[in-house]
Amino acid sequence: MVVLFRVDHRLMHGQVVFSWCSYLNPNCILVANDSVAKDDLRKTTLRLSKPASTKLVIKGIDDSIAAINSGKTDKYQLLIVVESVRDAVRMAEACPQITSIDLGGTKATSSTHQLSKMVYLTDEEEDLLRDAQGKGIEVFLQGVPSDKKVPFTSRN
Amino acid sequence: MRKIVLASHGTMAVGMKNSLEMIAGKQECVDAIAAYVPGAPNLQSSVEGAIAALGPDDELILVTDLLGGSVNNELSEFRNRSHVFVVTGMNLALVLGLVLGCADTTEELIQEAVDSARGQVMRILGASEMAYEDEDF
Repeated sequence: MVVLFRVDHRLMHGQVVFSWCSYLNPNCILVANDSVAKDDLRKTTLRLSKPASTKLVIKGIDDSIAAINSGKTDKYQLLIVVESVRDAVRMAEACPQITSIDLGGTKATSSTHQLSKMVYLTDEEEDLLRDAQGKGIEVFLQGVPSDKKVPFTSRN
Repeated sequence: MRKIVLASHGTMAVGMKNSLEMIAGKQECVDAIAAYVPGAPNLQSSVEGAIAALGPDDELILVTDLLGGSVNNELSEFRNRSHVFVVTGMNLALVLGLVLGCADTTEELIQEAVDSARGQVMRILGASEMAYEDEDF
């Protein structure tokens, strides 16, 4: 079962690992990211920050979708982290087991506007998320478990 | 309620609380004592004050910087007080483990945080030397 599906441009970061893992007690973390799946150095760095009792699986987006839809991940309390809104929406729309997207943290760029302390989105990303909501996927903003969960509302 | 007091030679404890809050958010139940700083109140009196302020169901974890150091030597007697625990070897992984960990009892929380933090002290080697195996579902 997916306990959290989170967008964080820093992937597995101190905040994600410690606070969410303590709160939700997942026994498996999936980092779904095409470039990391091919990068041994980044994979090793990610492994360094994983809690000892939690399995860490790193796969590209297509392989992640296939694994989830095959039912192989059903037996885990699974926390999934993706790097971008684009990856998140792609996976959420392809996997019925993913019913919500947590916008945990995205980078500010010249084409983004700010939604919260940690979340910046481009208009295109807002459109993708609004479409996902239209398909019944819950979208919310929550950095750490002690933050209030704020529903995403598109400004368009 | 569980309260934590960080105590160190000088200002490490204060910096530790700053770093902790950067990662885990504001922590109302964590206090920091910088000991032996000119003008600072007496260390043991400060801790007595923290103990006196505990409610009947509260517990206090004192985290000191260094085993064998003066701060730990001065404060280790407090482990005999009821509802007070003393942990030494303060580092950020340990403090995060105490603040964010979940366990049924404080004894278990401390043991898990200590074990976890201990395992996080290492030299970072190149990817091939660290030889982690890929895990799969």
